[in-house]
Amino acid sequence: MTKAQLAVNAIQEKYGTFDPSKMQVQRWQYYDNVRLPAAGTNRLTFFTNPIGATDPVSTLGKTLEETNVRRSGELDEAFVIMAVKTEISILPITRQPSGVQTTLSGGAGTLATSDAVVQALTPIHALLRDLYYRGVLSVSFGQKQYIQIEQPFQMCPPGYGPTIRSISSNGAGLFFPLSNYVRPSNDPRDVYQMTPPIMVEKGQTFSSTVDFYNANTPTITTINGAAVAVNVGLTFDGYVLRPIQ
Amino acid sequence: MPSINDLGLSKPTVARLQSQFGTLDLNRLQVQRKQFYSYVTYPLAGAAQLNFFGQAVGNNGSTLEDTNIPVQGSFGTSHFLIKGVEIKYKLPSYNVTPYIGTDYTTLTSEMLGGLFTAGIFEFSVNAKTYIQVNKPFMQLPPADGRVSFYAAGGPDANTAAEPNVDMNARSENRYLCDPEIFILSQQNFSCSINFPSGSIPVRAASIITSGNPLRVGVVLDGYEFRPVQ
Repeated sequence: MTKAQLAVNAIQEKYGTFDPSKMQVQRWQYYDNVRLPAAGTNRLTFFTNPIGATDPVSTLGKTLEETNVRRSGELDEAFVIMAVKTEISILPITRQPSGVQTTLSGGAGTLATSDAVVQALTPIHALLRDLYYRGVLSVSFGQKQYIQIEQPFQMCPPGYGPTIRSISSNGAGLFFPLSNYVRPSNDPRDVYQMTPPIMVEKGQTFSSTVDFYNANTPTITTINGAAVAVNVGLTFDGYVLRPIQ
Repeated sequence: MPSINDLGLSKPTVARLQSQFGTLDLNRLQVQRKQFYSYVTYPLAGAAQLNFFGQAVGNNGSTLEDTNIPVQGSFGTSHFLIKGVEIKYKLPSYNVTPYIGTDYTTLTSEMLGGLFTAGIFEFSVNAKTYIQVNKPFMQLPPADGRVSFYAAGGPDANTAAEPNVDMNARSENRYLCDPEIFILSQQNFSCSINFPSGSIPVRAASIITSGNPLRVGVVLDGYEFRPVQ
């Protein structure tokens, strides 16, 4: 160690806000959600726009609900990746564009009320089912690839979600149309486990993408002239290592 | 009995008095499973933040159905080892008859496209975050084997079977803290669900009303350490 490092360590021990010689381990998740382009795309890139940055597709600032990384392409602390999760999530109806929320006119194939969330989003669920069979997830640290998973939205389910017994009915008139709903496994045992785990140094740069080599992602369905807002997420589940305060 | 020489030594004096006449033995601890819980009302217009454990039982009319936390933001005289976290909800009445054929009359719309699909849960001790989980209603399920409700058919052509979607009830899906988080007695913590991307107004307006409010709760599941009596 240089004298400067020794001096800094000595000062840190006496006056510092944390003890760098003692590490604390805690279960943690680093996650990032990006908006799926309505016109389709051949690549989704994760962890490049940290909290506070603008999502280039939604043009909205990213909050803690979308990501919890503070630097582009880096994790905030040393981290051990134990599992990889992906998620395709349709935004809550009240965060959808106003056209999606606007009352529909009723009649054949449409709805009498905009409040019927599942029925209203039926077309997009039918569409997103195709997305689960697509794509290749690639995660590289430095220039070396560590994760390459085909059909990641199926292979790496989130492992959480609601219990669904029935989502709608098949009656006539008001009950038309039928409702569709698609979601991957909500069983935590199905989550993709990293064996062996991947230890990521603090400050280590990495890249993570889902590429669609054969064709772009589907064009997003519009309702009342507005494209349904869909986020795609990537989560690293594991243990964070941080100094004790 | 303490002697006159002990008067300047308050700690040994108190310890000796406690050992002879006290109602508990501070040197020995008893451990048992315990759940500390706190429920708050979800506003119909949504909220930027829901804070839990901010009201001790008895404060502002809080009953044991609302919370069992003895002190605001603290476990009081007990130490607590948090092993898992669960998010729950409850309604005074689940009666949704007549079901008119659109899912917004039940909690289904909230479960699949409403408030249950948003939010970020944070648990902090002394401003240091120990748990940070997005979509907490799904990632921190009640895992309590909750009741299942089944419906089929309808009395006429304009009614139909009621949709039924609920939070995950399987105990093996409980969110576990690893390693467990040990909170000392009297240590303050904060626990909240935030909606920084925008509050989520209630969509299932036919069932969640001001007269039938949705109560959202956080359960800290673990082991309580308290002195032997």
